[in-house]
Amino acid sequence: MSKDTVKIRIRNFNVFYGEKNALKDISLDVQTNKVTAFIGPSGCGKSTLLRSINRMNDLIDSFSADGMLSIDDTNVYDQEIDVVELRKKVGMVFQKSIPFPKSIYENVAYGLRLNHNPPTSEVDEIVENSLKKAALWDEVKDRLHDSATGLSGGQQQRLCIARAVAVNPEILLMDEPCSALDPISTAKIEELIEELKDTYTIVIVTHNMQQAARVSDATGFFYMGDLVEFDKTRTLFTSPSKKATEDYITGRFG
Amino acid sequence: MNPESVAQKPNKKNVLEFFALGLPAFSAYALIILIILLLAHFIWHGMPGMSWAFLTESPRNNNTEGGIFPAIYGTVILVFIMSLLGVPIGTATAVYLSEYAKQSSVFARAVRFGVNTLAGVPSIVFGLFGVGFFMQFIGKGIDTTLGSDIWSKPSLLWSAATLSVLTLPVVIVSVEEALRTVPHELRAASLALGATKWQTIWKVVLPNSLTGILTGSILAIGRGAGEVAPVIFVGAVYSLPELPSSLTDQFMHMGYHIYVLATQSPNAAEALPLQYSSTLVLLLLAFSLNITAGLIRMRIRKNNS
Repeated sequence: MSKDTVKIRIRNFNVFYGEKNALKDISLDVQTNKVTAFIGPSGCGKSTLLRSINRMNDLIDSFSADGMLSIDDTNVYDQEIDVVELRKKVGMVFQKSIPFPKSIYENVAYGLRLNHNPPTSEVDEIVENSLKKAALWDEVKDRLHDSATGLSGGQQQRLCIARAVAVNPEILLMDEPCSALDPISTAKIEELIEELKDTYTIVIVTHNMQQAARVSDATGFFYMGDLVEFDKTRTLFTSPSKKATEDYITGRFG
Repeated sequence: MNPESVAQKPNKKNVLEFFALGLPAFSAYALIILIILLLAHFIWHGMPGMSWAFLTESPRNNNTEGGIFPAIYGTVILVFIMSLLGVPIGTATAVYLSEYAKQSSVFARAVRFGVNTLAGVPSIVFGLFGVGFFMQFIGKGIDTTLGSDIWSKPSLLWSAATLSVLTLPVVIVSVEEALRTVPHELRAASLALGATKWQTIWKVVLPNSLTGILTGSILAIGRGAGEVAPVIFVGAVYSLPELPSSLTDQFMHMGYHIYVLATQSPNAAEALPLQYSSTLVLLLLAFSLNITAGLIRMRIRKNNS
């Protein structure tokens, strides 16, 4: 795989909630097998953009979008796109990690069993591999059939990552995955992101600028629906070209 | 200013306070006392007539002797069939209203208006509806098609169908409440994994509202078991020692049996102990159903908090 292939191409992308223009004319490229971070103050549109990638915004009645948002050169907002297939290709980890009120095993197996019933041995294997990828296997291997709601917050979040990778997506979207976690759990997730990017293209939304600086290869700074600046993470954090970006990352506002 | 006047000013307030707080409290206590008196009254008069024979035998000698087993059996089988008919339809309606319908759409509003109206219709009207719609329209239709003559008569099936319409609002409201308590994040997580909307409802939303559906069913059963007016028109009979063996049979009904004992008995004094005992059985049945539903609800609320 070449170093700089574009996985997600966004061009002149606009999002409206009713009359409100929540994202204005966004253009950026997400590179394959890289971690791309979206930062910015609350309400800046970073989560909206993330949720546009797997069309979770479709759930909001007043949502509409124009412009181009393509994955592997297929426009996600094309009429012919099967949203269900799209979401299998684009996994998502949410801010509030809520496992299904089922066993740990059933949580990971949920996505696998949606359309067909694979043999138990195959499911066993995928569950184990997914939990290993999410660095949770060693902690839960002896209690796979216990309820997932008994896990700690950090474990639950890693379970949600395992649940997402079990359906073998190409892209992982993470919506503030650590905002409800303690520093140790956060460190574990960040370590995990480092490992996961070998297999997946990762887009992460975070409030935590240090986190963006630590885990991402490229960073976009959003403000009031605009993409103010998008660059390699190192460049953006050390020598931002826009005043607003500098003010934000140095903590002068936001 | 002497200390007394200081103390007196709040006293006026205290009188108001006393009434403002006291009246509602009094009403609340009065309600509890009323229920206890009611139960005590029927236990006092009804317990002597209670016996294994009373619960398991058929009535004899024009309802003045024997037991009430056909009435218990008739009521139980009636509400059972009623639940089979009403709970799936009610659950489906609730799923539509809470998961599919846009809250502002005209159709959803019309359905909601219909549910609320249904809840306010007097039960006797449901009885007439049962006669007009189920017996004379659907039943007659089946008879004309099949050349039979059993479907257009009062029966267990049409009574259950009538009651299921009557209890539909109870089911819909309880299930909808349960569906709303399923966290939005669970739906989103399922959809994000590539589940369709229907898969999400079937595999995540409904299993998490099972207790709510159960509560709705029990409340509906409690309501249905106590309703007399509708079933008089469409299937309950005065006295019938045989148990119903098919959907088109008529049946005895607890509530109607009590009415019959009170008003139609050739010897009211003789029937009085039987009537007390029958009422006690019906009361205990209704109370235990409502208490069970309440307990399940409490458990759901605890799990959600």
